[in-house]
Amino acid sequence: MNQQRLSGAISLLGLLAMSSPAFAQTVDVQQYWTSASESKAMNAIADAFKAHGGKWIDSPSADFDSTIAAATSRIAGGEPPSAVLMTPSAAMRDLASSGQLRNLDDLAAANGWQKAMVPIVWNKLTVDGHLVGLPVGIHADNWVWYSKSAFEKAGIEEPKTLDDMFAAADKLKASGSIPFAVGGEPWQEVYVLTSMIISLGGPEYWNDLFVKRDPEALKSPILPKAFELFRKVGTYTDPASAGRSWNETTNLVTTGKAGMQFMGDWARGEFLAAGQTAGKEFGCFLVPTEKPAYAVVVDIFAFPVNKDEDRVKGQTLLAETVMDPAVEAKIAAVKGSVPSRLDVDTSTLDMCAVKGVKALATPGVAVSSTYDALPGDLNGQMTDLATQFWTDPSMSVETAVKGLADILQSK
Amino acid sequence: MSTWLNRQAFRPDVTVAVFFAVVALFFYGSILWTFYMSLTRSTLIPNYQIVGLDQYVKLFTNQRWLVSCLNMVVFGVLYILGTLAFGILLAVLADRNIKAESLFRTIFLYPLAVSLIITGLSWRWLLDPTTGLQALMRDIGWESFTFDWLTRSDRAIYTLVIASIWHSAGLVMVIVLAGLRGIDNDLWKAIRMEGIPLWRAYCQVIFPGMRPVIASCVVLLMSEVIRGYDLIIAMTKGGPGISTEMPAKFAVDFYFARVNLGLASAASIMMLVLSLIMLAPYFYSEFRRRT
Repeated sequence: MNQQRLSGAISLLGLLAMSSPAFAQTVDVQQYWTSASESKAMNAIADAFKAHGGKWIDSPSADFDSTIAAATSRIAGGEPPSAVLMTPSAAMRDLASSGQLRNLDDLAAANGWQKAMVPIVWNKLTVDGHLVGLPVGIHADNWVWYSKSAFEKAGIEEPKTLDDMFAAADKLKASGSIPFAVGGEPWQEVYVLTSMIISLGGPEYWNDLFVKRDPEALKSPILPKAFELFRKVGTYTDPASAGRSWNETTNLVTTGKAGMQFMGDWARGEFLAAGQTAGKEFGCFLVPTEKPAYAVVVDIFAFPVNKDEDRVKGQTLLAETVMDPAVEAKIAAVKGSVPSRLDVDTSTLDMCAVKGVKALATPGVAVSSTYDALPGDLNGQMTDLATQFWTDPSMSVETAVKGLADILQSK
Repeated sequence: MSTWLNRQAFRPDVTVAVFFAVVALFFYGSILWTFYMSLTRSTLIPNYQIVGLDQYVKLFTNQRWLVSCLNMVVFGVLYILGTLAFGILLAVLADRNIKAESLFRTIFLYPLAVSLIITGLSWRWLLDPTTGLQALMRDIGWESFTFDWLTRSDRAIYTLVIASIWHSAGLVMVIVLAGLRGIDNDLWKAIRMEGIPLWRAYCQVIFPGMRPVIASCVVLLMSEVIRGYDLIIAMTKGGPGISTEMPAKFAVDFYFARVNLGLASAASIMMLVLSLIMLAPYFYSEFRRRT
């Protein structure tokens, strides 16, 4: 009798223990999408994931750097998150080549993901021939966002050349607006510098300089000119720029207090979150170049290797959710990115997103952003250099160019 | 049996041995591992192949590191001198048998109970030219008032000094006050009989006798300087530019954001060396007095 009861209890326990992993599909997502538009995009993924029966654990960090820091410590400590929002940077390649990221080749083959992606994105996401991350959306660095009302007040049109742009800045200044809204954080400042480089040099020079790191490219007169213009942009900013976050800075353009902002197209999401429409209240253009150029930066999910079965299943479900064309379209619509699948319906996207889709589809236009292109901490070192040059007027252009040459030639 | 147990109940050597083992393993062990890492080219994941002193060469050609070290010296000297001056002044005033002494003591010690993050944020808001003191003064009619040190790369480091003096002066006050209370009353009687002016009595008689107290204050403040991180994060994030970077922030940034384990480890080891150098005069004087 007793024995029977005992065995009954044991089998019941066994059933309970077995049943839970069979149904739960859990993801623990380390991410940093906290601004208004970003959190909407993350919710779009989370809602679709939950709709498929998954359990979503959110592990948000304040910014990109702390996300990588938290994810790395968690992986090193043996409690990896099941997905990390990051970019296909040196950190991703390091993690992948030390075997810390789940190989997604089987899922890609089963779902035909390679054909669905733009080749430049696919190449960024493969390490040693294996797919280790999935694109959430494609952004580009070299956009300029402007306020239609500030432009009307100054009586100017969308600039077509670099000279036009600085002429527009002068008129904006005269009409009482802040010509260029820049947030005084190192990563925002270096964007202004790279925008000047891509504007003066175009996609080919960009590839020579940042992808091939050709010593000849470092001697080009484009670099000193770019640093000069970079400093010139600084003379058009407002005194409160120091330490201001990118979305607070975008807010200056949204409210018409500032004319233009150099920022990746995640800025579009902030305009949309403020209830504005592209072409009506705000406008956008890629930094003027002779040949069109589009410096692509991809938001990705990487999936650190997990052992628990429910977490592995959760990863698979999240991977399929992220690659779902409907979810991709929704992310693009709220966040300002361009869908990373070619087969997503783009008819509902606004004019700025369409410009991006077009640039991405034209061969030779898309180049890799410095964050993804440069190995190791070279991009970080360039950021340090740019912010020094930006804040210290006594630093000469020659010193800066030499500093950049040293950085790009190291290792 | 019970007598044996009683005899065993407290064994200081065992207790201490356990403590030292823990310290040796987690403290010195970590230092050794960090030193090992600083000799490698590790990035995100440790790489155990030794490449020599490459990372140290890189470190000392890195502009940001050099600026960080210089900042630590500037900040350290001004902060320690300023905090000592304020703290001692407050202690002397409190020692003059004022009314409601304990109330003032609490008020001046209170900043120490506020975390450095809160201190940094409050001072950032206070010193931000568009929202803080400058805006306030201009709003009430003083149009030309300018105090924009926080946003100027050549002055921002001094705003950190101001905030941290505010934070720690109370601590020095309390320690020095305790020292002053320990002064023999006969000494004061002698000073009064000789008719020595008060300032000379403090400078030439009282404080020279309080050397150990002041040395402890300096050591306490120095440790604040070397590990200075949270205040900078809250107040300036190292900016404008790299003008308020500090070694501890350099190490943390390179460990995590820049995923350069080797260089960050080299920076950490250099911080250890720097702190030993800074503490050397203190150890030296202590040692000399003992022998």
